[in-house]
This record gives sequence, structure tokens and C-alpha cells, in this order.
Amino acid sequence: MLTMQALIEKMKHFWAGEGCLIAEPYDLEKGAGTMNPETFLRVLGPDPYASAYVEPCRRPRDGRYGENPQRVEKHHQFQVIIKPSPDDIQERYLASLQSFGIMLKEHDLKFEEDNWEAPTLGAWGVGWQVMLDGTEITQFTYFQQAGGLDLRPITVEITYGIERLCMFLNGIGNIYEIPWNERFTYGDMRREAERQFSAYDFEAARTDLASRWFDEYESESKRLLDLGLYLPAYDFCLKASHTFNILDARGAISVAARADYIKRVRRLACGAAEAYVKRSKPVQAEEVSRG
Amino acid sequence: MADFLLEIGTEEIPAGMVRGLAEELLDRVTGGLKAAGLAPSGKALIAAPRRIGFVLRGLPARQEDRRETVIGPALSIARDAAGAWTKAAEGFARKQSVDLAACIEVQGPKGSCIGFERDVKGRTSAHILAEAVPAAVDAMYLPKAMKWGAGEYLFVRPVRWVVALLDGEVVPLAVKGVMAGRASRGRRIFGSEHVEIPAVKDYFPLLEREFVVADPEERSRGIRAELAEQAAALGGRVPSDPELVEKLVYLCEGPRVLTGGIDPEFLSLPSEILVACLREHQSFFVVLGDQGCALPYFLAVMDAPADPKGLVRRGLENVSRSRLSDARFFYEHDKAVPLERRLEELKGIVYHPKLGTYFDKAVRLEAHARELAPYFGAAPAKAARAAKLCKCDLASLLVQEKEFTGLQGVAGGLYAEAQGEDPDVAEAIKVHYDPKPSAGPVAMTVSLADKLDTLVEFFRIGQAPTGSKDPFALRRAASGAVAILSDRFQAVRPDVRREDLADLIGRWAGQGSEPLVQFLGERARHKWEGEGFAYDEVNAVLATGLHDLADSHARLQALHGVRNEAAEDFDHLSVAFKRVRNILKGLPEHGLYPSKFLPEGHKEGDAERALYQAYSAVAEEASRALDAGDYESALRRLSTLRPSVDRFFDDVLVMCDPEGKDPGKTALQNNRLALLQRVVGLFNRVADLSEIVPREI
Repeated sequence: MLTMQALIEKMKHFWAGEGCLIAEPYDLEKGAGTMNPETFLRVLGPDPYASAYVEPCRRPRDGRYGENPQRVEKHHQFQVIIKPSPDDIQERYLASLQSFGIMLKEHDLKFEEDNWEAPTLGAWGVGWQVMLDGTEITQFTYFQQAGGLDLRPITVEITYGIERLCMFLNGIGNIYEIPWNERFTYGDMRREAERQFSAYDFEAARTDLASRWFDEYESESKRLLDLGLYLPAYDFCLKASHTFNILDARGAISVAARADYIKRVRRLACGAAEAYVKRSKPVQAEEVSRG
Repeated sequence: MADFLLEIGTEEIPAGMVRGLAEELLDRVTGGLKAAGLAPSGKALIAAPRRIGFVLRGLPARQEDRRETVIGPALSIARDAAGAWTKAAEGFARKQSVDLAACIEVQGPKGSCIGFERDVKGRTSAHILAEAVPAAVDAMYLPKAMKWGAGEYLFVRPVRWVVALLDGEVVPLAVKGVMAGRASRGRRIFGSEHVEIPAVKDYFPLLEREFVVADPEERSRGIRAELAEQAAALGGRVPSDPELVEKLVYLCEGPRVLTGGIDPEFLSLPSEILVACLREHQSFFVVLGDQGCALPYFLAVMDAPADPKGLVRRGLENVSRSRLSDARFFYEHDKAVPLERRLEELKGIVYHPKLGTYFDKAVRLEAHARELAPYFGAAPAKAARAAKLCKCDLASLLVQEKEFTGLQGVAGGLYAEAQGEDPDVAEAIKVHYDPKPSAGPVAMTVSLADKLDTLVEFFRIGQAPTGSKDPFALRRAASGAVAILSDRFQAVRPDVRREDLADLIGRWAGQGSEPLVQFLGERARHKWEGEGFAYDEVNAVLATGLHDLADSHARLQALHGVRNEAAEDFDHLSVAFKRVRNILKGLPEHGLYPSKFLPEGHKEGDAERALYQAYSAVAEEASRALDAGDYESALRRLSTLRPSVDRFFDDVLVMCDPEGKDPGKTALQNNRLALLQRVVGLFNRVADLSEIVPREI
């Protein structure tokens, strides 16, 4: 048995050994680890960087009230980003799997084309989903663009689905049976939250409020961008993005309106990205107060 | 003579691109070599996920030595009035590092010039390859390109190694910043990451030892053989699925087939859903038994030499179980929702922003099918019911999953069946996207209604396809409609008045009917030429109207058949009818008065009377055959007119009064025109023979 927390320890240990800074999750709701500024902003610009972190991800549409053994509103990704991408990155990735206890010679592993695109981030990349005995355990991406900007050097992003991998390692088919540690299961930790957040996302969320929030987050983000405070501005972009996901789960967004919402979030993300790239001197507090 | 090996080692190239890229690379390099006068005697492709390249056999070691002429400025500049070389000539010689004394008068493209001849040593193949290979790689078309690392290079996936050997020697070249050497790599995980290739001939066997089958054909043969063998061992077979095999060939470097079990509890799923689920999600082949029903086994292709502990099998079975549970959940859930209730949900699915929702389409289809039904001998109520429900599965959970979109129609049919709809209705829903020739009348009706509605509506909003742009697949819809209208329709209902059907389509299309009918005609031409009818035969038939494709198809078959029996007659008739066409162009119908032909014994009179008699002899019978739709006997009878037509044109001057000055002659002329109008009129009920291009004369 390999518990979820032990697996996470192994992941951090392995990638720390590869020279990655071990960061912690970002404290805002988001749909994917890519949205953590640790990835979204760090992939921009010329400076080399390498970091790894766990990221809890919320996807309101995927909620199933804690009843589906495979789909959940919130799951955990283990995110690795390295810039520039090393020549032997695939070999290092395979070594990471070995270090988790997977004897690769006893399995069937395939890198299948799967290109990634996040329209709300103005970002896309090229890569694979890694299939281990038919289960997708990792998303492997060479970032080509983020915040609407062409990237150079290129960052490689490795995203492990921690729950998927843990289920695979333990040969279990039900996410709630994952041992979190020796005493508690994933179900103990997460099922009630799944039930309540599904109820919120699908039934209880007030769409009038949420759509007002979206507008407010958007205008606050724009205001902060104008002040040169691109980090708080990006936070409000993330809040707007998550609010959009809730509206979407509530069925409050028509097909026609959808594209418009996505465009609005993308504009904020691109604004933050441009400001990050241009940052030549740090923002002075007094300038802000005067502005 | 030498062999050349090029292997570009990459990270995994998308399965759908490997072959195309490898072939393009081979074509471009051989093209470059050919331009340098180097032609190999044989070639072999290397195309696998982590490598593209090729082996060229029997490549000359170097180019032939040759003598070439270097051309300089024109003589008018290079010589002065006295015939001595000028400054310009000196400059040329200096630039070419040649002695002015060696310069001579040569012929340039625009006249005499100064120039000289020199011997050019043939370059070695290694030199030429060192330039040709990188140029070829840089010129490749990449469907989706990427950068990596420092971001200096663009290719389909990062290039990690390059092997370039001429026999046993490394060819010094670089591809995307990677210098070529002799070190290849074996299968990931199972083989060595460093495989020295001593010489080209060692490449394939050495890689095979490292679990890589570099030749795609060999991998394909291997997969097919193992699929057949293992299916047979299970007492079943797997239906041929070249598309899936092709995908797996390029997803694996050393594929092996593995048998897995399907939990028998899922065998109650309709086999269409079972097969689609495991194919789309997992790329599995479901083993089918004698009756085409699924056996509790799948065959999977793994990229590993073996499954020593059965872990791969267990993993694949686990995944298949959860995928099948999902599919069963969708199916059971959908089955419990009456299709009719889904109509409401169709109001939320946009068909096209300018054309409303699928609900609007369903309403139109119901009306269309009711009208069309009688032409197919289908019960209007059944056709209307099927048409109304045929799009409802678009709102079902199953079809909304992206892996199952291919089951639209099929899924609806299965639900209809389970919900106790009439079997004809269920069948129609199931097959309406692409009915087989054996489909029943209700299915034909619904399918045609669907396709015509699509065409009529998109033409109405000005979305007819242009050039290669056909975003709504209207050509496919039109081809489907043509297939039903031309061959299948006849088989269903030979007795119906087909003109009425054509009128019906015209009425639906309203103002757009003319371009739409033209479009259908183009698809008909495409289809018929594809079936082996000659283009001029298709032209001849379509020239007499596109209105009724079933009738056109019958006429085409008759024309094709009879023409092949009597090619010479048709050649003659076509020449004659071209003249007739020009003569008759734009003329009103004239009355025919047999008494007004010139008298017998008169050369012209004899000829026109002969044609008239021949015409009268066949007209009645031919008309009867034409009325009955027996175009073949009609045409056979009509083609006997050929000698009389020939004689008529040999002996008679039809336009004896082109200016209309002599009332007597005008009457004569009109009578002749009338005769020709009658003769051509009969032929035109089958085809316009003036469109036939003579084969012999």
C-alpha cells in the first residue's frame, strides 16, 4: 500500500532531488495547477526556473455529490515546471515513476499526443497524455504560449493526477477508497465536501450574485493592472475565472455568452502576463498611493 | 555504391503524423539527391513513434566528373572594336580566377558571350547528403510544430539524436542543432538507450534486438497476425478496422497483442455501444462470435514485449470496467427517457445560429418526411414519427460524451427499440445518417428528408460550399441524397411519378432551387464518373435536365450500355447532332407536313423521305418504350436511324432559305427543321447525343 500522503512525499523528494524548488499550493480557487502564478507567470520571460508543488484544483462541473467513484469537484495535481526544458526530461519523468515504486518493465507505457489549451489564459502547449496500462496518469506539456505571449525559452510542465496515480498504485477503482494515511481514507477527508460543494455549484449558488461578482472582480483586476499591481490583479483574474466556472456549472451561461466570458478572463490574464514581462523596476508603494 | 541510413530520433511523434512525416522526409531527400544526379536503387522507410528516416540502397559514392561551361558578359561588352578583350572581360576572368587566355567565345542564352570551359570534379555523396538532409528537414510541412529547450528550433517534437551513416561512415550533418553520429536508441524502458550502429546493414536487426521494429509495415503485419490468431483461439474474430490498426502501428515501437476479459455483466449492452466504448476510449478490439455478437474478450495492443505478471492485463481490464460502467449508466439512463421528451431539450441545442435549434429541424423533418413518404411507399405516419425523433439522441447523455458522438443515430435507434417504437421507426432513426441500399422505405424517406433539409437550409442562408471550404459537409449530404435519389430510390419504387418528387424538392428550396439542383447534379456527376460512366455520357444525360436523378441514372445506364454495343453509330450520331444543335438553336417548334417533302427521285427528296420513314417506323415503338422507362430498348431502336441521318446530312441542304426570301423554300426549310426536331426530340428523352465525344472518327 502506498498512501496518498506518502506518494506526495515521494514526488516532492524526487523533484527536489532534480533541483526543483518545492513550492506550496496557491491559496485561491483554481481549475488547474497551471493557473498558480508559480507556473503561469514563471513560464514567461528568459529566467531559468524549476519548481514543483501540489495544487488542489476545483472544477465545479465535475462535481458528482461524492457518489461517482472517478469524478470529483476537487482533486489534487502535482505540478512540475522546468525552464528551459531539459533534453532528458522524459527519462527523468520515467525515473520519477520508478521512484514511486512502479516497475516500468512490468507495464505498458505510452506517450499519446494530447495538446493542451487554456483559452482563459491565452495559453497553449504541445505534448502528451501518459498512459500507463490504459490509465492516464500524467499530462506532459511543452508550453508554447502563455498570456498571449510567445515563450522562449520553453518551459516543460509535468502534471500528475495524484488521485489517479495513487489509485493505480493501489489497484483500486474508487477514489474514496484511497488511503490518505494509515488511518484515514480519501472518503473520510473529502466526501462530505464533495457533497456540499456539488450542492452549492449545481443548486445553491446564486447566479445573480455570482454574475455581479464576476463583473466586480473583472473591474478590480483592471484597476489594479492600471496601478501596475499585476500580482493582485492576477488574483482577481483567478477569482473571476472560478466565478465563471460556477456560473457555468449552474447552467447560467448560454453558448453565445460563454465565448464572451472566456474573452474577458483572457484579457485580464494577458494583462497580468504583459505587466510581469515588462516589470523592469519594482512598484513603489508611494506611487501606488498617489495613483 | 553505398547504402545510406538516416534516423532522426525524437520524442514521441503523434501517431497520426509519423508516416506522413517519414514519407515526406524520404521524398525530399531523394529529390535533393536526384537534382545532384544521384539515384539510389532501393529504399526502406523508418517510421515509428520515436524515429523517422529511411535507408537508401545502392547510392553512387560520388557524382560523375563533368565538363561545364561558365558564361560571362555578352561579347558586345567583352570585346572592343579591334576584337581584343575589354576591361569587363578582364574583370570576369579575375572574378572566376581563370587566365584570360583560356577564355573563349561561347553561346549564352541571349547570344555570344565570353566564357570558358572547366572540369568539375563530382562531389562525394557524403558532401551532398550533408547539405540535402538538413535542407529537406527544414522544408518539411509540419501539421503542428513546437519549440523546446532554448526555443531555437521548430519541429514536430524535440529532436534527441540523429544517425546518419554511409555504409560504415558517419556523414557529418546536423538536424535541428543535433549532430549526427552512429548512436541510436532502443525501445524505451526495455531496450538500451545507447545502440551503436556499426554499418547501415546492421540497423534493422540491431534495433529489433532492442525491441524496436523500425519498419511500419512489419509492425502492421505483426499486429494483424496476432489479432487474427488470438481472436481465433478465443473462437471468434475481430472485424477489420484499418484505421485503428494504423493508429496503433504508429503508437508502438514494438507492439504485442494481449487478450483481456470483458466482465460478462456488460455483454447485455448493445454491441454497437460496447464496441464503440472500448474502441474510442481504449483502442481495444472487441472479439465477436459467429452471430456478430460480442464475446467476453477484448484484444489490446501494448507497447511492451510481454506482460510477465499479468499487470497490464489487469490494468486494462480495470479501466475497461469503469469505462463500460459509465457507458452502461448513460445507456440505462437514456433508455428511461422517452425520446419524445428529448424534443424539448433539442430547443437548447443550436443547429446553426441562423437556422435555429435541432428542435426547429425536427419540426421541418417531420413535415418533409410526411410529404416524401408516398414516393418511397412508406407509411406517412411512420416516416413522420421517425423524422420527428431522429435527432433526439443528440440530447442523450451517451451521444453528448465525446467518445460516443459517432453513435448518433445508432443510439437513438437503440432507445427507440427499447421504448417500443415501431421497428421501422427504430430502424429509420438508427440508419438515417447513412442508410445501406438494403434499408427500408421509412429509413430512406427520413434519410432523404434529413439530407435535403440540410442542403435547402444552408443554401438558403448562402452557405453553399466554395472551393475546398465545406464546413457543413454539404457535399457529403448531397452525395447521400444523390445515392438515394439515383440508385436506391429506383429499387424502392420503380412505379412512382418521379417528376413530382423533383417538383417537391423545388418547392422546398424555393428561390434557391436552381443552384441546389446544379449542386446535386455535380455530386451526381462525381458519383457516376466514379462508377465508371464516361464523362461525355454523364454530360449527355445531365444536359437534358438534372431534375430527376433517378430517371437520369436509368438513362445513363441505357446510354452506356447501348453505346458500347454500337459505338460507331453513336459517334456518327453525335457528329450529326452537333450540327443539328447549332441549326436548331433557339428555333420554335415547327409543324411537320410529310406531304411537303420534295418528290421522290429527287436526291434531296429521297433522303428526307428516307429519314422520315425511318423515323416513323421507330417513333411509335420508341415512344412506348420511353414512356415505360425502358430506355435501353428505346435507344437501341433509335440508334437504327443512324444511316438515314447520315444520308440526310450528306444529301440535304437543310437551310435552303436562310434569309427567308422565298416563301416556297421557307416552307421546305421549316419542314426539314421540323423533321430534325422530331428526331432529336426522341433522342433527347434519353440523352443529348451532341455531348458525346466520338471515339473513332
